Amino acid sequence: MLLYVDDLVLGAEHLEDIRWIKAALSKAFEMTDLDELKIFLGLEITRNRNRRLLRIHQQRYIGQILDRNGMNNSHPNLTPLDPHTRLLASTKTKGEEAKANQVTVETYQSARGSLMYAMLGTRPNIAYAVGLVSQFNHSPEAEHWIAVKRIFRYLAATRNLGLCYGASNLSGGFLDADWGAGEDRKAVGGFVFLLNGGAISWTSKKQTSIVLSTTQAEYMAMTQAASEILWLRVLLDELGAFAHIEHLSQLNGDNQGALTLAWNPEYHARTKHIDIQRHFVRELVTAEKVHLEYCPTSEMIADIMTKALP
Amino acid sequence: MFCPAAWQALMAVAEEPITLADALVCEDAASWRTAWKGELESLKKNGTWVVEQVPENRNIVGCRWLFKRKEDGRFKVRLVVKGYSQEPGIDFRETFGPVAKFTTLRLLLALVAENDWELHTMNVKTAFLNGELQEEIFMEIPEGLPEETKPGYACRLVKAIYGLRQSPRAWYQKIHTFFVDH
Repeated sequence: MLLYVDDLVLGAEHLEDIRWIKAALSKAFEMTDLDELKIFLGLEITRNRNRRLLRIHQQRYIGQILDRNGMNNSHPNLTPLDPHTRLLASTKTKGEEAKANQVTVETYQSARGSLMYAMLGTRPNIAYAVGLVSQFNHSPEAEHWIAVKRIFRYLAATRNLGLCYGASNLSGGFLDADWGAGEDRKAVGGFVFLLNGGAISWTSKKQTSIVLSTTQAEYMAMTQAASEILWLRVLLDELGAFAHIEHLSQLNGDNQGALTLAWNPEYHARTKHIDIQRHFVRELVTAEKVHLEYCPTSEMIADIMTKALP
Repeated sequence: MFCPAAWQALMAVAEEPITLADALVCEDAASWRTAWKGELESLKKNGTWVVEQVPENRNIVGCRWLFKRKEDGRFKVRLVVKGYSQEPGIDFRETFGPVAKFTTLRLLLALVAENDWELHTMNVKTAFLNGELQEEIFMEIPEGLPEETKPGYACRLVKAIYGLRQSPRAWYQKIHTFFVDH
């Protein structure tokens, strides 16, 4: 059972249980029965029950935002970011800015907000791109606007893509970090959690402090992912999905240094600068609430959360 | 920046009246009147407030009627409280009302797919109006109730109402209690 202000989602093993809850609710409140769940907060849901597949996508929403931003007839593009372009912050003064800009701050921010909602719903694959263009929210310039339009063009080409649960039984967390590639040399960290073959949780975030090694960048991303595990564990426990608690506590990283550091506090002299709070992860590993695994970079799903891929 | 003139112009395009007086003289006056009467009726039926004498030095929160044309052509009238005129600590304390995250929904959907569960949805009509208030709040008597408007009197709210800072929370607590009891 899930509640979003006045919209309720009811999931149960048997139809009788659903009927019972509906009757009880209707007795207490004035309710509208909308029957099978097809759309929720703009997420469209389709099922193939014979094959136990469930797909979610935002085709309709993407059509609307393309319309709203005048991008409906744009040339489609198969990647959300140009890997050869480096976006830099504005160096212009206020006066120059107004002249040079093709786009107002309001238009830019509203377009970026539309992309954000698509990303949060079913499109983890644009998380890094949306995070990147968000960094120029306060003073967008022509090249930033081109990057935003590129994301729209990518969505136009791939609007029917979404997430699918049940196609494989892959479950677990994947994390990655990209060290200091941005203009301010701050690392970008990201993670993806899969359950029943589909992504359920993801993040791409520029780290708040500058780190001195890939190990440290990865270790910080690991902290973020480990916190997510703690929350997912509670949720799975409440839903009675006990078998999945172990599956989702499996965290895969591709940085040997960070993994070693979490398993065992060695390399002391070179890692002393890693902040105490980062050792949060080590404590969770010791308590067996998080299980770390090595995953080669070539198989790292979370790679996409931290960089532009060609 | 808020600009009343621009606001008026915008509303004029949408053909939605701003005040009750406007609504009851405009082209669609009959439809607005029916919608307004209906809303007033359901507020009364719901026992949303009682008219009482206001104790001295009590804050009275403002309210106004809101007129909205739905996409399907229906006329919708709603009474909203001006939440910004509430005094913290007296008219409201806790305002946080939790809402579900996308991650929770996706996690549920992954389990639904795996176990071939049934998946249904329902909507609660006028959800916020179900919430019961913890605080004693006085609201000015809404426009259009001349027989109840007398000096020193106001509506003491019993049930939550749109615009009140604690309405989402009151509703959440109400439905939470329901789920715990069942």
